[in-house]
Amino acid sequence: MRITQLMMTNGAIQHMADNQEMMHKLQERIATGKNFASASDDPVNASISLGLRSSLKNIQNYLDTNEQVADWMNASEFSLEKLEEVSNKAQNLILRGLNDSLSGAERKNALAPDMRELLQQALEFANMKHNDQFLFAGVYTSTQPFVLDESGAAPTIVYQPRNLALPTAPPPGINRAIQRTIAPNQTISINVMGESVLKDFLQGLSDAQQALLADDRTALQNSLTAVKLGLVKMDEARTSNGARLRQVQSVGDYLEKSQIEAKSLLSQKEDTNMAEAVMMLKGQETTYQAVLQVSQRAISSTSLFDLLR
Amino acid sequence: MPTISGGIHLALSAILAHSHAMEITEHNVANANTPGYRRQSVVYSASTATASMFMEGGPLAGQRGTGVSIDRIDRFNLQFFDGRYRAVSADAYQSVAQRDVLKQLEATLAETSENGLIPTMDQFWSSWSNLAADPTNLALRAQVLDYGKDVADAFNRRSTQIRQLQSDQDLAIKDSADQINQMATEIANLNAEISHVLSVGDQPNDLLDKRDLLLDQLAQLSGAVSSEQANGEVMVSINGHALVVGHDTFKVKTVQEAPNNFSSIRWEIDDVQLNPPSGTLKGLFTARDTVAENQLTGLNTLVSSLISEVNTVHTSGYDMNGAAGLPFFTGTTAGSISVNSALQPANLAAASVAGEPGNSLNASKLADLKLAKPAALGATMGEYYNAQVTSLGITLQSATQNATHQNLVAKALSDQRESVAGVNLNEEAANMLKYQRAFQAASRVLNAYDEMLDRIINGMGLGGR
Repeated sequence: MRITQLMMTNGAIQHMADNQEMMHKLQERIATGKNFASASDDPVNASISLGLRSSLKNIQNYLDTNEQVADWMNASEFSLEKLEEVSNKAQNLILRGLNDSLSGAERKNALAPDMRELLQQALEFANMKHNDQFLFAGVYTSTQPFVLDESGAAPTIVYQPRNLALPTAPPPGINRAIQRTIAPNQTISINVMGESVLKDFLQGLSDAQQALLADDRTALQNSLTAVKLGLVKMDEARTSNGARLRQVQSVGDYLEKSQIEAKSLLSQKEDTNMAEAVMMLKGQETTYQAVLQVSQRAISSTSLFDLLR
Repeated sequence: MPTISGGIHLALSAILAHSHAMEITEHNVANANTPGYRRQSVVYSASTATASMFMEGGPLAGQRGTGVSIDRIDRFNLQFFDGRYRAVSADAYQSVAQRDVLKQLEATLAETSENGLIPTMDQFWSSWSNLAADPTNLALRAQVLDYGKDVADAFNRRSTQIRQLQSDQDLAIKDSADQINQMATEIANLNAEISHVLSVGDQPNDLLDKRDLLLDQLAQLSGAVSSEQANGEVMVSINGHALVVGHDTFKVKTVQEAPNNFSSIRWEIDDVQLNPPSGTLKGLFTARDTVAENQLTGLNTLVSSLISEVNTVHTSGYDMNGAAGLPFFTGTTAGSISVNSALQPANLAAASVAGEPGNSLNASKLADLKLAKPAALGATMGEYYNAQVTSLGITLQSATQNATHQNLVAKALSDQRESVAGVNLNEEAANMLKYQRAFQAASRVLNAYDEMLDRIINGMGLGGR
């Protein structure tokens, strides 16, 4: 084939440009640490990596929710534990009050204030807040659940939460559960039903105090039953709460495992294999040097004109 | 009868012919880097011989040569290569144009970065999921609104940028129409000159070069094809419609078409639309009307699903004050979507039942929309857009590969053409030497004649003195 000056020059330029482009691509891969900068570099892997990123985000969301749910349930557990302590103390107090050797005055002056104290403690724990939300108010988390109404002849415990949108309607019969989604299609109730678990117990404490004040041992006996029943209910609630907490934790473990898997898959798809890329760059550099040498000779090689006298 | 002066003329013809050849060599060297230049060479022939007579010899002694004359100046060209080269390079230019526009489009969408649409939407869904875990938190509510605005902005920006990209291509298309007209006029003018020069028997080599270069460029721009006629004029047509016939041109014009007011190119004479078969123009049209438009349509489909899904769920819930949820998004397209300006953080409908502040079922439902598959999309919103981005990536990848491959083919053909028609300096140097030596020899012969005349005039005896 007849070769012309233009072909030599254009060829040299083309080869240098091609090599530079390859060097540039490798440099970019190494500098960014990614195998591709845009989808067109590697559409299939880019698509997979976009999907993985999205599901990673999803997993992170569930993990965040998981954490908050676990916090809430641990707070409930803590309150219930404290309430059980109060309940035990109250039972001891009532048993002492039922003792025949005690006088009415002693019951009124020594035991009743103690019981009052225990009632206050119990109310405090029953009205415990987590993250500025009442733990035992069902979904009506902004309303303080339990109030001791002392306006009537006998003090009563009032369970206040009710639908804010329907202020005049009576509170619903049961506590509404707070639902949280902890994993795809997996929703659990995170709260302990304050009204059914705690109201009778608190009322029992209040009744016991009144009975001690009035030196009414029959009523005191009745209140003991209520307090004992309260303890049983609290135990049940703690067990159920603990079971659900374990469920939340196992879901969390599973989520963490899938997060690690998704991350390593993502890294496989889009992270540069540095050793490989650097070796390739090294090889490309050698080629580029050679191309430069050859091009320099091709372009500047003397033509016959230079040699003519 | 041989005459001394005849010999001088003979030597002169050699001197003139070779100095002309030197000029041609010089012309070749001078144009070694001129685009479209085809090398030229001198074709010599012995000039008409005369019969020998009288004292030289008897009849049939042979004819006497009268020197050299230049027959013509040849132009190295292979028409077959021209047609093939133009067809292939038109394809290459189409792919290159398409690749360049798509690259811009991909950079605009920036999907693989943190600013991608999918990460932005994911953030929006996450903010709902965060709110679901703590529904009375006003900061989280404000965050949902912010991320909602981010989503709307992301769609707005992409829509605007795609439209901007399209109108940039539109401008390029309008320019191309002007270029086509201009080149057509130049070709028609060259046709006229070339046929004139040919008719007087001359070789319009440099004019032919100019016209071939224009035909190359016209093919690369619009996929135009040409055919040469007997009188040396070329007829040029684009997709079967004549552009240049002899000295006449049929011009094109641009017309703004509904619905987007983008330009189409039409023939002035019959108002028929010009669909370039290949070339840069075809690439621009494809990028503007097919690829970018498809991306925009995809965005709009996605946006309308997003708006209807989010609004349906949001309006079925209740806000912190127990009121029913308002539509979350307003607008209908990627260009017009925005977060309902009436929404305050407290107005976000996280609850599924009115008046339950701790209830976040509706927020969960909104977060779960991430995994929902709207019927219009047939996939989740993330998957749908992922598919869009990937398909753009594949289109760009294949355009890039096509551009590379077709450029290689075009280069191979161009090399072949260059191999025949290009200037090789070594060859020119050798030719120069050849002509120079012949010129020197002819001068030497002339010198000999001079001496002969000198002998006759000054040295032949002294009888006449």
